[in-house]
Amino acid sequence: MFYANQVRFYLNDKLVEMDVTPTQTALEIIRALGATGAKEACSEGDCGACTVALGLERNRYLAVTSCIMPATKLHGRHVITVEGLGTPENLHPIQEVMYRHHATQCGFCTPGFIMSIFCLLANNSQPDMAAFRKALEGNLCRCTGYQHIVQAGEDLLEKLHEGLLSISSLFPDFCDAVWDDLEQSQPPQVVPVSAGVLPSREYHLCYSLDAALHALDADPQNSRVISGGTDLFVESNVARRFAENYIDVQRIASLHTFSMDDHELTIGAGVTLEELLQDARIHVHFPLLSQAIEMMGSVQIRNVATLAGNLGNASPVADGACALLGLDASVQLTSSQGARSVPLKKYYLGYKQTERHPDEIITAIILPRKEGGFGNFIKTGKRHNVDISSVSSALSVQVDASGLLTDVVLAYGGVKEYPALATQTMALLQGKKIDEILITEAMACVEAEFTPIGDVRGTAEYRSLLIKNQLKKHLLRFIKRGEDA
Amino acid sequence: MPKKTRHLSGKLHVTGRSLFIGEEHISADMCHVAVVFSTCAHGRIISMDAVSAKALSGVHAIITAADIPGENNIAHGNNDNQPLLPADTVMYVGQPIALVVADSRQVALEAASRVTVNYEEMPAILSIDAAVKANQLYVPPRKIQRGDVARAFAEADCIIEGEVKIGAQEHFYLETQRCLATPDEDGGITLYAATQSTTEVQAVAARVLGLANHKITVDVKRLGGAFGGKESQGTLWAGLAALAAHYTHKSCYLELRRIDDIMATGKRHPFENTYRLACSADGRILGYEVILKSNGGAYIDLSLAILERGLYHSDHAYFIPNISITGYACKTNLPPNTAFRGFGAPQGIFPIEIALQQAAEKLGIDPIEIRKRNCYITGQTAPYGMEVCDPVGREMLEELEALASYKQLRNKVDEYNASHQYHKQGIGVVPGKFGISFTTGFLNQGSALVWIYTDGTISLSHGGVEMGQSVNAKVASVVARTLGVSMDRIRVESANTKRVGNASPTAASTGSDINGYAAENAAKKLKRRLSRMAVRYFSERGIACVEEDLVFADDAVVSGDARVSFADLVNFAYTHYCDLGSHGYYFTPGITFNREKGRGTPFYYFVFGAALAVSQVDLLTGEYECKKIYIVHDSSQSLNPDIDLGQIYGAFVQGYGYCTMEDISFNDKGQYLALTPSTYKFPTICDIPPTFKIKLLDLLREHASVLGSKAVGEPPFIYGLAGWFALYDALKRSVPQGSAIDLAFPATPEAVLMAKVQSAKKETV
Repeated sequence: MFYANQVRFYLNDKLVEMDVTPTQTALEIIRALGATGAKEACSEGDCGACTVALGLERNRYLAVTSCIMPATKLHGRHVITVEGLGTPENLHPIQEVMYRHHATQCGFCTPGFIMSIFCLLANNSQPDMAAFRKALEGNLCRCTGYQHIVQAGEDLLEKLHEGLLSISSLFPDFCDAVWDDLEQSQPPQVVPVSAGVLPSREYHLCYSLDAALHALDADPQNSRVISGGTDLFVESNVARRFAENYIDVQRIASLHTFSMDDHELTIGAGVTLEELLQDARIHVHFPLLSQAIEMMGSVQIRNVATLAGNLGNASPVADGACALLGLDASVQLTSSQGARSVPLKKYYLGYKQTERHPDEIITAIILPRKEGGFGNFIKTGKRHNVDISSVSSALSVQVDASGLLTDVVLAYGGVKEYPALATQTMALLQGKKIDEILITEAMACVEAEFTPIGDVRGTAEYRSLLIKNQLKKHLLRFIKRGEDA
Repeated sequence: MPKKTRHLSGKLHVTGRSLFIGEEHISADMCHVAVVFSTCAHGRIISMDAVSAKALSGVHAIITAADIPGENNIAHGNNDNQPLLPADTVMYVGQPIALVVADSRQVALEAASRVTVNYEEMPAILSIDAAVKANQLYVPPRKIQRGDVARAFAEADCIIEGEVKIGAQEHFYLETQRCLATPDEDGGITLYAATQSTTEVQAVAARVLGLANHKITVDVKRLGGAFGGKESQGTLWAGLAALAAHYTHKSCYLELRRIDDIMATGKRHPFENTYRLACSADGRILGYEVILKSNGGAYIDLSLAILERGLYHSDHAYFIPNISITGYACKTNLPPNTAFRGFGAPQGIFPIEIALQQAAEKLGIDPIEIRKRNCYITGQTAPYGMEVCDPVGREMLEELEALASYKQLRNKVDEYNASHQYHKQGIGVVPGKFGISFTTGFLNQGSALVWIYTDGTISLSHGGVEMGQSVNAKVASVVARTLGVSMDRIRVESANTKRVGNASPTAASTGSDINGYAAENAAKKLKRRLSRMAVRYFSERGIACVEEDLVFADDAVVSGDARVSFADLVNFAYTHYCDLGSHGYYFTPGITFNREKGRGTPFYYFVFGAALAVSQVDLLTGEYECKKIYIVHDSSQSLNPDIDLGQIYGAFVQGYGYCTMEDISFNDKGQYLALTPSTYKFPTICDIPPTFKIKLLDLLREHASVLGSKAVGEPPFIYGLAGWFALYDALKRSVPQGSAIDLAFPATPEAVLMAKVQSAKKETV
């Protein structure tokens, strides 16, 4: 049998109740409903032309790339599109500055930019231009060279800072009424549909871990656990690879735990990258992790993607996985039989193969707390922002009373079939004091430790250079020499 | 305020109300078309199995070459024979082989994925080298020569020689290729096509369907970016949609997925050039010899015109007394490479710029200084014999030095480099000189159609296609200024073959020149007629005046104290039998070229400018950051300075991406390797430095275009090359003086690090 979900959500001021199939995207639905401002331009969440504001609760709106968002995730949400902000006769303040500063040329990317700016201001009442640029790193424009958009941003932020514009005035009038209704939402009803050419049978939008495990147990081999969907829906859009069943765990309240005690930090599988990035505890106690997350995807991706998804997808170039490996993390796997914890260094078995059994769901990531040490993350790609690593690496060390290194962990991404530890180099550095000679030795050691492959993101030769040079950078930063490293 | 006008669709764009192809003219029974693409770079189709595709519910038709009613050839303006769908031999990966027409896009895509094709693979030629060895050239080598090159080299104090390989560039218009085809009642077809050339789409669709041109209507309201990628290459997809509509008698919509668009469409031509430069001790160019070889791909497309523009720009901004320029256009098994902003000029310009840079190093002359010494001055001619009119290259470089405070900037960069071991900064400078006109002479013609309605509002149609560049705002501003009316009276209509026939492609930066002039001519005719009417209007009211004294301004016509509003005058004119419709026509005078002799006047005028970039390189990873950009640009009497600035910002960033991070190589199967934005990286807003200054100048306008303006689309693309030279300079500062740096183009982080490492290796040998 094939099933659709009866979703209920608001598109701007309109209530929508409709059936959506498992692999339909939010963008497809939004455009079919007439909001064609959101565009498909890459269908993999990399260009931002499909950006909309997704309301999760009253006054909480996040920028998301709707092209890789499963349509079922619209249930109970409020979507604001560019059409909901203003009209040609009555432009919204963001639309007005973009218009006045010639920040639109062909216009195809413009709605996405405007929605990203709206979401920035919905979450940050006093952004600076660095934040403005960062909020738009996931929106590509091929016409303007961005400078007129920057000037529009400067104008807008000046108005905000001078108090000529208030954040609350940026929200459309209909938001409150929408939430008065949506706050009563129930889980969607599931209805059978005719098969047609549907590639997938069912999309389970789960509200409890028990429900998810139950759904998974029904057919573990043919089910994919989905969180943000930023990998899985790229696969379905671009490579036309579909799962028979999707089990969506992102609404399971128990997976949103985020707790720290004296010994460890527990990150629930549902916590998004952006939530982690905004959390002071990560910045203070695990700076390596926030360095990594800052360079992962765009804000649209970070708003839905999770570290658990990074581990579940098991890509060899997953920056989150590399960072977690460098932090000696463990992953909690839960099946209907119970939960177990697996150290990340034992989690990977081969290319996209892991210790996770098909009937298990990643439920949490556990990071041991080590105070006073040094942690550093480096990622090298073709472009600073929104790119996939050629090579990434994470180093964490502790220093004992006599200045010797202890607890050395050095992890790499993009150097073999899965994120891996540089165990020989770790052993070499362990118990030593860093000096120029040791740096040279360690570089030679780590270069010999991996035999990377060449692909579109870098030749083998370049990757080998990056492997040793990134280590040099880590160590130079550690000893704070060569300030420019 | 016609000069201050924003994009005419600006308010629609920012509110999401502007409709693109596929978002309007939709009928309930519209079908979706998906394409079965060749997976083979060169081979014979042995068999095709579409049984399981046909069996899918919702599939209406599978269409192949056998179903083409007319001539199976989409080549336009050249002698090639490029099939719409190949009958038996595929020539590149991504070539359409068959179409699936279905109820929905998803069904069409699924069905297309189920069509299996078997090929007998044939040897594929992919590289320029292989094509030259196999003598796979589209035409015999082209040559332009002047003076005595051998003697120049014999007398030179300094000789520089080298080879540059320049990579391809993907257009990445945000809106992928698409077309909606709707059948008309009489067997004709209306095409809402993503094309810069309504005429070409009309002619080709008619040919492949076996119809007369007048049966095909092409309508283009706006494009979501094009950059040359929809000049000739929109035609294939429009032809396929037309075929599907003709075959099924239904509206058919074809929209490429991004991954298919990048796989199947042509790019900016890769070039491999060898150069030799002879200089005197004081850095004056004595002679230059350059061979340009372009990778044209599987069909000729626009390769010859692109090669020609490369040849005509090989001198760039510099007077070269003795010169030999040779060009090859190679035939390979890649998607046919095509027009892209700059159109061969960047590839022709880069060799002389790197040669001059290297000469400056060798001679110990500042890189700006050596460029200034060689810039064209009044009275000098280009290698092809045309006098370089209004040459202001030197002035531009001087303006640039002032704008960027060049001396202080150089000092600051040197100070930074002295105190940093693992990061180095560099400065790159390029001037710009870009020839304006289609080098295919007869394309330099434009048309416009203007109707004034009885309420005084105006409908304007012209031959240009709006693709973001604001050609509509510019052409409308010409009409507004000519008739003295406000911009909001004017509605610019879609580009439509029924209103403006035989339009030239909107390309070669000429859109607002040729169509602006045509619209001005149309508006002037109307103004003459309205002037006669105004004299009559005033005389009927006892006011004597003559046509010559009338002033058309502020939505009124005035003679001394007498005044009539534009709307009242128009209504008066209509009721007194005055024709309120007007067609305007324009052709660019004096464009000729003799290809055998390599002599002629390929351009109407030149656009000059100069750019400087400061970049910082991480010597451990090869990553870099652009820190500052300064540009001076001769916009003459700009029709709209803000729109011109937008073009310059955009062109710079596109040019900067081209020579730095944009990397789309192919493998030995002829498949492009970066098919989506996850792998094909072009600049984001975070790659643009806080210091991005442009100064528009108006130095000379003896040779300019409509209302004293100049074209702006392509010339500033060249400025982006300053980004490459900034990286080159930074790398030079990281190695001992005199060490060579062999930096690839594009200079990806990998290329930067490898250049550094290889230079160090050479030093130790």
